[in-house]
Amino acid sequence: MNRLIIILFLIFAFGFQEKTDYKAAREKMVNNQIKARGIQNRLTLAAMQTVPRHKFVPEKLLSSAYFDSPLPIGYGQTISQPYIVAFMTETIKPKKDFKVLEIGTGSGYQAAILANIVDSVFTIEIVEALYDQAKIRLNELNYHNIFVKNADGYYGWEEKDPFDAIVVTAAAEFVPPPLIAQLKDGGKMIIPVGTPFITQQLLLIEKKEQKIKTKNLMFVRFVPFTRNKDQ
Amino acid sequence: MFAKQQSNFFQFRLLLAVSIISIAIVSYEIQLMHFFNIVQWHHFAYMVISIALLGFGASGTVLSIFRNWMLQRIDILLPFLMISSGLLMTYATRVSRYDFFLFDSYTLFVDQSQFIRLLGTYLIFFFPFFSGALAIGLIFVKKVSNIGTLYFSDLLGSGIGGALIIFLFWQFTPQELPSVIAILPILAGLLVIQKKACMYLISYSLLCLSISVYHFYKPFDLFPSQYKSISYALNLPDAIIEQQISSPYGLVQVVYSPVQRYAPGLSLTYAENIPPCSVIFNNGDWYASISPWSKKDTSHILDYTTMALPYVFDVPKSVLLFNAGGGLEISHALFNGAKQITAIETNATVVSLLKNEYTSLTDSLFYHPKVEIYTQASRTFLNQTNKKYDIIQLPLLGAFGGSVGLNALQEENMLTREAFAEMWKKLSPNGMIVLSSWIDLPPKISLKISAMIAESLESFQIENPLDHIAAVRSWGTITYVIKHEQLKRSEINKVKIFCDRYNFDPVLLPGITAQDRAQFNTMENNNSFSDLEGMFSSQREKIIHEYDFNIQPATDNKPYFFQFLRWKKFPDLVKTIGDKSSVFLELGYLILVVTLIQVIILAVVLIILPLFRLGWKGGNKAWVILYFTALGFGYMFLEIVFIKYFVLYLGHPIYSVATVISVMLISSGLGSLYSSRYQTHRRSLLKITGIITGFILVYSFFIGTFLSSTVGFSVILKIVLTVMIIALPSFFMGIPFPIGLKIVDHIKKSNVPWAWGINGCVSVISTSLAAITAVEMGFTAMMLFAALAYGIAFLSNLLLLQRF
Repeated sequence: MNRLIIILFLIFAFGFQEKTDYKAAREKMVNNQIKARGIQNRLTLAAMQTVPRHKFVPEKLLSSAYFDSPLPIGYGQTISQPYIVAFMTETIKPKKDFKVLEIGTGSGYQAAILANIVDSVFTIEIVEALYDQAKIRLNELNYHNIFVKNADGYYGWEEKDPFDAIVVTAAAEFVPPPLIAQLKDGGKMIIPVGTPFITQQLLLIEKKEQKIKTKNLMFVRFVPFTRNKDQ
Repeated sequence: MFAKQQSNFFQFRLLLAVSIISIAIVSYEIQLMHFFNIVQWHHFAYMVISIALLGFGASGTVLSIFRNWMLQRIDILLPFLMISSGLLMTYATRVSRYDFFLFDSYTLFVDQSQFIRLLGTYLIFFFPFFSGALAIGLIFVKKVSNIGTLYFSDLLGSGIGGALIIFLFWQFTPQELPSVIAILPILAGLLVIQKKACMYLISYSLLCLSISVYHFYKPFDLFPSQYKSISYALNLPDAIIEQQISSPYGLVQVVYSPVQRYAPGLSLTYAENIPPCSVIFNNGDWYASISPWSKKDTSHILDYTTMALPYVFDVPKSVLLFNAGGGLEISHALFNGAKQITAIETNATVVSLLKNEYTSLTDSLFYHPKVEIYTQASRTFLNQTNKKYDIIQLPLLGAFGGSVGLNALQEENMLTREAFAEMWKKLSPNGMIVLSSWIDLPPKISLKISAMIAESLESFQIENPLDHIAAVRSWGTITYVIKHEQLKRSEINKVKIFCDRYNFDPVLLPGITAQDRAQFNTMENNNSFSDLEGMFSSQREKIIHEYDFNIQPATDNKPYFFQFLRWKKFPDLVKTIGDKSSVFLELGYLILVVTLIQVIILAVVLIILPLFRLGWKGGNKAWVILYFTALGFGYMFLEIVFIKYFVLYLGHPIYSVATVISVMLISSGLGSLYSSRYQTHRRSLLKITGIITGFILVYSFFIGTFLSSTVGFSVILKIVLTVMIIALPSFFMGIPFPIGLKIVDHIKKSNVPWAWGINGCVSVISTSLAAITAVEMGFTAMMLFAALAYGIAFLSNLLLLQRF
């Protein structure tokens, strides 16, 4: 009997320990990796604090879930570094009544962060296996305002357009024209540009009065050239 | 006993067996480079193969320690080791594809579990080399008095192996090749079977032979890294491999998916549909896209990219396009009215695909009367042509999102100052050179291009270089046009209109302001592109010197355009973006350095280990270590620098590798054969190492000039010159090793395998070290280091006992 009590105690203790560890890890992640690097948007910070990132990473990488780095999720894809997710979210200036389109569901983490802030998230994944995994995961986590589709992101989601913002997490060598068309006037599109594991820049596309402008946001800052004062 | 059977027929069989197993080892080594290039990247091939080749060093260590035991059992061990080497060759590649060993080098620095898999991979590929090398070493130790002839057989076989594998690449797939090559060591083993345990060994060899044949017909899956371009393509819906051709140029695969499209840096004003296309992959990396094209097309996708910039000036009469095998740039030139298009493509397989299987998709583009296709190296064509061109265009440089330094060690002979000067000479009076690249941040490619243009134009005595340049950028690409003549006002206006129409911004154009540079596409730090102008000012040297990355223009002596890593600045980079991310900026080069470090550690262990058995003193060990280390360094450095020099001269890495390896090893083999005429005397060593040092020193100063002045010669003449240049020093370089081994044998027999092992270990270190030296110091420095190594070998002979 004593032995049983000890076992139950250990199970309870470890289970409890695990929960608190993840919460603490998340808090640490928000403070050290996100706030410390200048992310201030209250809604973004709250979402990053709420969404259980460890539920979106492969089991064998659970211990690295809250590390300051992207992690492989298979099929050559990654779950982005927490800071990148936060930066992209903050950049589109999300509001509660927003309808957001995401191209490249991947693990579903970015969609979950957005879903904590905005009204609805429509997300498209081209790789069937990733789509299946993400759909199950998001259902299990009760994200009822996320709509997932297995399709070619090139065409966007015409039935649901226009979108207040479009987040392209799987960048292509061109910006699909249908996505520009489905962006609401005044809307923002954000695209990370880089190879897996290193996002060197983010491309922000803004549509205003049918004019389209881009801005390369270089969040990886380097020491600028040392120039003469007269230059 | 083996030693007593000295019949001429057995001697012949022994020599033949040494040659055959050497053929197999070299073929297998090159085949492995090819294999790793397909499933991973060529840096990782270096990494694994370096360790595998340490099998040579390890065989020397094992022989040193177990010399007597092994020599007593040589009758059985020799055939057993050779046959086993064949069996291991069959299985190594296959087993490396099992899930347990399947490692992804791309994630080596972020996923620690990869290190265990990497260790497993090392072990798998170590044993076939170890087994084969141990067999050769055993013969060398046993028959050291006949070392000249044996070493000749070894080098002759290696030379033949280097050439044979090129032929085999045409005939067999990467999955079939290990089984084919594995037959050779088994045959070699059969040749040296003697009466002792004859039936067991014959049965074993037949079993191994059957296994090889069985696996030849049951090829394994390649499983390329999930981070290779082809893996992404094959993950797309309904993706299929339409074509697959194996050749020495690489494994060419064409993938089609209805959702695969290509439109690099497309203007955001483009509102039409982008059609799906097939994509050519070479060794799993993106090579070119084959977009559908018809003479009746009313628009061209590249017209909506910055690459259309050269066509806004005028209708060109003659256009020269490099690496245009996919045909997209050709159809673009035709669409813009070019009268005559010359397209150069180095990969013959790609040209063949466009001329046959994809001719209807591209409306017989490669048979168009205005299009001429040349299958040869770009620099060779440039040197041979007498024509002048209105447009000379290079392919799009870099990769979308950066190339994580995977091309850092790739020689880019078209992106050097010398290549730029040659292109400049081939321009018509109103001609222009066109360079386009992906925009990378922080800017590296664009700054290096600017530095190259600035230095080149200055050397052509152009007074105001910026008056000759127009550069425009979209959100993703930047295109430079460098005109032979100054830009006219009307041309400047045309560029401005082009930019307005497609939402592009001029970044270099006479008379523009900072505001003009950021009308449509801005940056957080808009100075990034205005800094390009700095390259044309007196501040250039300062900028280059202080920049975080290496943006010094590449030259023919250091043709590594994509090498951006500066060791001095790397710690800053780690501080700025973190250690895990920073390694991905220059992954390729870092892998090479890691390779070198691990090889040095293992080699030192393998060299020191036998000393516990042989003793630390006696046997002139200081001379042995210095002499054989110097020989190993000298030989490998010269071999590698020859390969690098002749890539440009012969036009393709494959021709260079095959020619240099074959000619050099066979000539050295002949030298080794000739070495029996020399007395095993210190004077002989001093004389021969002195001659070699002198040869290499002369080469160091003249080879570059000689090759560049004869590169335009006919192919036949160039081959004759190549053979002469390589064969002459190589003949002499085959002499010091066998004489040295004989002297070791005279001093202390048990030191022979140790000396052989030292040479093996050092050869492996030299491979990685030579690659780093080439990148950091250039080809001339490599030559000088080779001369220095032979100079040290020369001086080391002074340590030799007086009686020699």
